[in-house]
Amino acid sequence: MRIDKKIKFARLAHLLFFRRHKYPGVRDWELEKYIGRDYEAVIDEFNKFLSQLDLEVRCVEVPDESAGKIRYYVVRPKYRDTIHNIKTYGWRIDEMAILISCIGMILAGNGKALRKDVEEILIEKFPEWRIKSVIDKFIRLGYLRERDNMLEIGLRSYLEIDFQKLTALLIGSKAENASSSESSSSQTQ
Amino acid sequence: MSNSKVSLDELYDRIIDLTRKASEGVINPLDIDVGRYIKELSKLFDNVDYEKYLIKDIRALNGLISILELQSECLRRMGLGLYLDKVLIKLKILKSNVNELARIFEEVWSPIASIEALTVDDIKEVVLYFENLKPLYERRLKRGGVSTIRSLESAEYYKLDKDIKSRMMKLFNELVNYSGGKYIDYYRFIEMGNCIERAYTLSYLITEGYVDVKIDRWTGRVEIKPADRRIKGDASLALVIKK
Repeated sequence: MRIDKKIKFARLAHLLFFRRHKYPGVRDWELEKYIGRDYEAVIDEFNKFLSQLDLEVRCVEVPDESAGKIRYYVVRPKYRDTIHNIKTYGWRIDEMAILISCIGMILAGNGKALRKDVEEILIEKFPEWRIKSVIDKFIRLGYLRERDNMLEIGLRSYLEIDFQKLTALLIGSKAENASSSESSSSQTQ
Repeated sequence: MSNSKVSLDELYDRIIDLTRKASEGVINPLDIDVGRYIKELSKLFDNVDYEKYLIKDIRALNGLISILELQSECLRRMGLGLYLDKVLIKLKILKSNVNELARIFEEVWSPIASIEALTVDDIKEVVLYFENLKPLYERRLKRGGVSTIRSLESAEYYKLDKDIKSRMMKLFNELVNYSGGKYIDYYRFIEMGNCIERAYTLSYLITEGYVDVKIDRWTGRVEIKPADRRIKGDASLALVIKK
């Protein structure tokens, strides 16, 4: 019984830490296939182990046109403050500013924004070639998606960005309430 | 009868146009009264030859369904506290500086812990890319990259190098007279004569510290001015010249 649990833990760690598909994280059906139907109980146990490393497995529900919602499981830092002390990104600040502006425009456009419109606003702050290359880069990385000249939020943004806190910060209100829900192990976006 | 036909046509076109604008985010879907359009359509549709208008009617109804979907999405976002006003967000972006926007990103971003390993899908993509990759000369022709840039022949380099000091002196005096000690556009200055030769000579002046270079990273503008005193620096910089 003990060995079985060890194997399940190892499998779960491999599934979560090594990227296997184009999309990051693990889908629920994969967990069911490799861990078993009791994968949620295994994740709970695994979380106790991970909490020592200030990490936790989170379930993120991502909207999907055909399936309605798809559940992804990813490993993220448990507390934001600790991760913010270490620079974990390899991007320039103008790239981060362009990405957050794009996401803000997309949220304001009900999940879609014309790429042309986004570029027109950003052109007042950044050189045109830079905007185009950064947007292309984030499309490639999966943070944004482009369909019929319309920009949409990409899967990685759903998995990594707290939209409620972002909305609160963009409209200038305090974000404490929005972020308080973060402490729960699962979140819906 | 003809009146109703015209108005029905107009109504169909208006609905289709509204659907397009709502899906592109030009107008707020919540501003559209779908119920009123359905009422008007059903009123007018009873008085016409429905076979003629069937396809347009289907398209218009499909459009109204899309608007309803957008409205539902809008309400869902409002319920989750994810509603942002378009004008407000534009103002916020324009008002905030780059650091503030980057700071917001830092606040809301939690990275995923995972190792970017090469997957089977990635290998397939690489194979597909190399299979479809055209020869280098074809790609160059398409972009027009190489053909637009003139390179200096080695003989020209030799000629330039031979009397580089006198050329440097001449160009420096020209820069002093032209700029009046103020920053001027780099490209404008080198294009005042033989572009490549002037850029080449100017590079010596910059390296030797006789000319100061300023680059605005946001606008990409490169400016130069004669240095008040000789500048010492070890940073190297590549400036692209296109003719």
